[in-house]
Amino acid sequence: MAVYNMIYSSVSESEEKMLDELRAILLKHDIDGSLHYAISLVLSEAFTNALVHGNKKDPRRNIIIKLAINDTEVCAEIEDEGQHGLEYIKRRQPPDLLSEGGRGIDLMELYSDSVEFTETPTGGLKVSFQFSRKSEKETNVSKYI
Amino acid sequence: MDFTTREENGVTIMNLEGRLDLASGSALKEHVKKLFEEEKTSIHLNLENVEFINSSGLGALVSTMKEARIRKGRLTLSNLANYVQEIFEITQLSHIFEIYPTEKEAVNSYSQAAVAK
Repeated sequence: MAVYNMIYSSVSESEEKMLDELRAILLKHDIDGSLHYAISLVLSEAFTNALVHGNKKDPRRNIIIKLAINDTEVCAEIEDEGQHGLEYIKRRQPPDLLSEGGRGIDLMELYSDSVEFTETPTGGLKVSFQFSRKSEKETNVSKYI
Repeated sequence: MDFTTREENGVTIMNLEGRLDLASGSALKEHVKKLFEEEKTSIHLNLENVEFINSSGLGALVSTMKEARIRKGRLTLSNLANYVQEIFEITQLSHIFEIYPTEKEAVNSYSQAAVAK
């Protein structure tokens, strides 16, 4: 099991940095194609939530990512240093078609094999994902199209 | 993300290249806002070289489309990669955007719409 720990400041530019570093890690483990895309999408959605809703773009607050990869699965955790993140998740409403936001949680659920939202001891939000390493990733998406 | 912009038959065509996410989505909105301020309200976005889009990028496109409608303009999209098309379909945004297979078809649609008027 290979384990990676990454910490990012809560500024918009961090998302690009995170995606670049994630790409390098996934390619190192021969994860390409649709699974690579699904993991990148899901982590970017969680990262944006942590950045905007959790840490409220406060550069003094960090976003912490833990990634664990073996031959059968990829597990990821993303934590923010905000407050009441779990309440935000529970209160959220489905977006209107013309809404500019509110689609991230749905995409996380559709493109991962499992997702769990928990609160950290300091009140931040931790989102945990699991992705199965099938020969060719079949996301949950196909049943919705 | 990089933007290149050119004019063709009265349509402002933007080629987008790279990731369309939170930071680049904001940059895209600012860029298009300037076009609107220059009275350029027929805007086509060629997404052929968009390698990644997330909900923040989708939000930027929705915002741009709504602004175009307010200004009585049009926003069209073309050349969506399969995974980008998939996200448009699962979010049902494919129902509200004018999406064309190719840039040429999108640009032609503007002149056809003008003839119809």
